[in-house]
Amino acid sequence: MHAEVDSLRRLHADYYLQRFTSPRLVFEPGQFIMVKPSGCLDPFLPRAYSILRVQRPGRQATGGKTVVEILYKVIGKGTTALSQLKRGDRVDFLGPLGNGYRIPHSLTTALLVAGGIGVPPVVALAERLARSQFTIHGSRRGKTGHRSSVIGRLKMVAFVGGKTRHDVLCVADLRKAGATVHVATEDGSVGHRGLVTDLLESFLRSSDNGARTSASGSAELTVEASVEPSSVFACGPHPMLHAVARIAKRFEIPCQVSVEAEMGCGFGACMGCVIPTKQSAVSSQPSAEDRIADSGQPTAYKLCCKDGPVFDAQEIAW
Amino acid sequence: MTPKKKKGSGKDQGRRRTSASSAEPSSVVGHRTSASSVEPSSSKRPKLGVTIAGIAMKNPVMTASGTFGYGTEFTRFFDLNALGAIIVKTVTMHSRQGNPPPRIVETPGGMLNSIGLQNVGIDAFLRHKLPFFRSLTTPLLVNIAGKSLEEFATLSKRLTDVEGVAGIELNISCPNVAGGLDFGTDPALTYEVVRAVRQATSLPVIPKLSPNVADITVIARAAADAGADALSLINTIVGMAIDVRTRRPKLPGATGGLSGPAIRPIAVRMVWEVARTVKLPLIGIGGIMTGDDAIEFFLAGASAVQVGTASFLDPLASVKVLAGVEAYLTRHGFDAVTPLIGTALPPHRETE
Repeated sequence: MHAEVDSLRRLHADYYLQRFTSPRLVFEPGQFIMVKPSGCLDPFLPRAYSILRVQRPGRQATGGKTVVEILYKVIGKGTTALSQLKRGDRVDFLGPLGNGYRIPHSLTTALLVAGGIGVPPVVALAERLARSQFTIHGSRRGKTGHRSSVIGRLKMVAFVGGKTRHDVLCVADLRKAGATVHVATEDGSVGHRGLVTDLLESFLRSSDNGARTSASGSAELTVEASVEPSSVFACGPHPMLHAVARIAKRFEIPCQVSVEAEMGCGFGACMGCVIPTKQSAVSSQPSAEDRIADSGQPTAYKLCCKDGPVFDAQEIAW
Repeated sequence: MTPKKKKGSGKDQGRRRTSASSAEPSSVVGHRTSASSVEPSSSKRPKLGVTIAGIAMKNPVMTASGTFGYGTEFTRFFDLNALGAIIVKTVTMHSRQGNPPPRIVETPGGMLNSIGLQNVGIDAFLRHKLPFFRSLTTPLLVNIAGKSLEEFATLSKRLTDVEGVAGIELNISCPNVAGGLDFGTDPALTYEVVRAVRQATSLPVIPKLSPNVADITVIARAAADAGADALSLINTIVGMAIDVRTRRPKLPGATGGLSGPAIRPIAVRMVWEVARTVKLPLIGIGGIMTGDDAIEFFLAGASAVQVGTASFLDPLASVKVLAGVEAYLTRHGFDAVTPLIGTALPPHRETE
């Protein structure tokens, strides 16, 4: 399967925004594509890239094709090779692959957490949620006794972190999608000086207090202040995701994380991209005779590409 | 239509020395060295069918064990009935978690893997994975690995007389588990394990040979003497990559198995050597990415091929290889693949 480079734009530093003209494609936020320059033996394997955005035919003259957008940082052979392509160059292209973020029906507040180059699937989710910006978050009895749904606006709060201000990406895209954006950098060059997880934690602490106050102060349920039907959606470096998972657990909020692993194929054939998960959460995998090295607890491997890359945070054996 | 269902067919006493071709005995069918661009004499499509170890296959292109999951991973990409045979991930007595990640390291023109035989085990395989293959017309070969002669024999017995299993490929060449290579690097052990399996099953037995030996013909002969019906070669080559920044091996177990086009010349050489040593049909494996790559193996003496690592880069690789083989045959005026087998000409000499 092939696609063509439609455009390539260097954002700043080593960050590139690349578009491909591909066969028609429909995706879920969090899904990815496998891409590499066609006919290339070094790099040999395709690389996985989260889909940032897909422009549907019609919006632009794409001749029945779709334009798929990815955002990446040049860090090794695969990304270097991709960043050197020109418009019209052919790439091996496979996707969309994997499982995206699951959007709960009752969702009222989406807490989006992105670290560094983990931002694309989070932006994709924000833009998807913005399109379906109404959600059913409760019900009450009308005069006739029939239940009628209360429709309200979905609230999105995004937390974006990076080492420096150059590593904080897509803030404008998130705002455009309707999210309130909080920024953190490790060097303090923009936003809060520190980690993005600090921001998430303090937000949840204040929301938590707010919800309790309002619940005791008034009988009326104020959705805005409550974190109850909210969910965390995160993507970023492994330590960040681990911290996000811990925070979400402490505040008892459902949390989905998009994890990364080096993949060979992207569709479950090579079994290279395993992620240790808690065995209790595993469906019918029989226990293995040989346990994993340097891990005391019983764990089971799941494939990042096929079972993920989005996992329930509590499922992963951090 | 469904030759694999007829388990008894072609499995008489003579089975152990089955010829590569069902259509004609594997006599040397004239060198048709239609050197340059001979137009196809007719538009008739070449006959692609082969019979390997008594197993009738629609064509000589199979999928290599460990690169095709349990088959179902590929159904969204193409109809598996297009393949000559399917070989699934190695099955062991008990389920195995496999090795800790990272398990794959890319190298120029190839990759090192250290999966560690992650699989569901024979019980779950028979219960959950095998039924899918019964719905296919393409025969299934089950690749097995045991820790002992007894395990190999037990696994073979479990697969015998099971509907949907056409044959057994013996993994005596896995570099990524303790002792995985022993059966494939010591000719005495090779003989013992093949004989143990031979005695345990009536199914066709196809040992998969390791390239990690000084002389692969010695191992091939041992396997043939012990009653193998065909030979698969080669498995991966033990390799290693070191991260120069951390100065540590890139794989947690230090070494892994190298596959991909980087190893193809080694595989072609080994098929060529073994073809001149034993009479068994050979299944060539090693870095096949295109139809022409497969043709190289046929010329070297293979009766069929397996496509492995290429399927990771492109899930359609196996069917594309098949299309390439057919195109080559048509282009060069061959009406079947069998007349091509082992017909590589002597090396060119300047003075003759």
